[in-house]
Amino acid sequence: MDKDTTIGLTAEKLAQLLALHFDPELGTGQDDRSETAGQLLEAYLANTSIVAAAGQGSGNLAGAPGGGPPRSLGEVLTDPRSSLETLTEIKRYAKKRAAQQASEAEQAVVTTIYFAAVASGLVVHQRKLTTTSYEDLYASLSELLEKPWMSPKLRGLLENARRVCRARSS
Amino acid sequence: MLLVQRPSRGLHGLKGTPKAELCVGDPKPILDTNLLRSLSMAFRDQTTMGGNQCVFTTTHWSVVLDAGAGDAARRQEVLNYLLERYWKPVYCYLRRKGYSNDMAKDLTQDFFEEIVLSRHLIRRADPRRGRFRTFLLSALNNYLVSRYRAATRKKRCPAQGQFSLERLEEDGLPPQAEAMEPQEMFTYMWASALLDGILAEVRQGCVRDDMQVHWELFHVHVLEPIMKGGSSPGLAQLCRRLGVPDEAKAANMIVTVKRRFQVAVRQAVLPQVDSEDEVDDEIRELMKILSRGRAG
Repeated sequence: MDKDTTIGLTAEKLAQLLALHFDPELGTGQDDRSETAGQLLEAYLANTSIVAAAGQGSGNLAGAPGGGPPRSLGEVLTDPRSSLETLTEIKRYAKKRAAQQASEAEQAVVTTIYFAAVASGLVVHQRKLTTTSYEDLYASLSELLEKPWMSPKLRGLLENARRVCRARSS
Repeated sequence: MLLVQRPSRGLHGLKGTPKAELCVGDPKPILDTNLLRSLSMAFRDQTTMGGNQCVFTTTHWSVVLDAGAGDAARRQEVLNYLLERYWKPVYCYLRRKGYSNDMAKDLTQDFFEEIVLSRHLIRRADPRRGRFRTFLLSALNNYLVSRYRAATRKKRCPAQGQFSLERLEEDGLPPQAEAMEPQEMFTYMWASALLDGILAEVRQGCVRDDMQVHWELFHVHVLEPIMKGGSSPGLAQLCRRLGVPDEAKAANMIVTVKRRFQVAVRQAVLPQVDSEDEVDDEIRELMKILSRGRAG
């Protein structure tokens, strides 16, 4: 697959490419909102610039440890090598984004990212990145796991975190 | 009639608790009431990590402003970061202003060093004023007025780790550059660089996730008709060519990539604006400028 470049295209064509952002086919997903949330979550998990953006808070502009190739959000959330600082930044990032999201599907996605970062902190680093009780976390993780749109990439992580919560809440 | 708990604009207790709304015939919400309640509590937490200041700014403004507190290595990193993303519009703007290739390269390098290392330009700008694109063009014009500062570049800039602008000679100016005013050139290159990064992000993500067929469908059915003109060969033909079982499946695969494209656009523009709310406005403004053929 060759790299695409837009240099040389007319200005109007650049505008048409940008217009894909507003493609009505992506819409608000009123017909099947679960499917929309699922697709959106997968798209977020595949994105690398989210990690880079979160990394700006901790001084890691590239978003990858040791200056390696950028990792996708999904990789960072499920990779045991991800540092506690990175997970904390992602959690903060999701929290900030949650305050700004307009659509219900996007709210669901950033909420999931928030809890996935907390889950990774619990499972990988044995640290709770929130003052929320284990009982409440258990309940939230359980509800997220029931969602039909939950990504298979995150299910294992959320289930493991839920086990940690159950063990520590007793 | 359903009574559903729907999050307020601030969501889950960040700016207030979820408020109940009476919705007639609403489908089941994606996040249900109990989860919203627990999320409300979770989002109200004071994190135990990194203190309780959870305001996390991600704009390129903050990257530049924070660089001032860092050491030389950090400032160099920020410089390279900005150059990597924004040299094209700045360089092409300068070329359309009439500077030679070499002069434009030097000025591009100097301009970003001025922003990050000297910070004279950034001190005169107010991040609350808005978009990074607007700031950069305004700062560039201010810089050109006082470009005598470039003479001190070598004293300020570390010799190692410098971003190479050699690639500029390979890329040069786009064919239509001669028909554009400098400011049009700047906006054109801004959008072009933005889109190149987005397309690379989506393509690499598809490769990484073993979704080459997804990408190929999106490329042939959506991108090529825009970039090369003409129309798509049609989904039925594409299915046969790429071994996709049926058109409905192909359509779903294309939507999956479109969704990734949409997220990539959002993530690329977000650091250039003040808030999430402004992302769509910035994209629409770019589209408007480009569409009217006056890209400046």
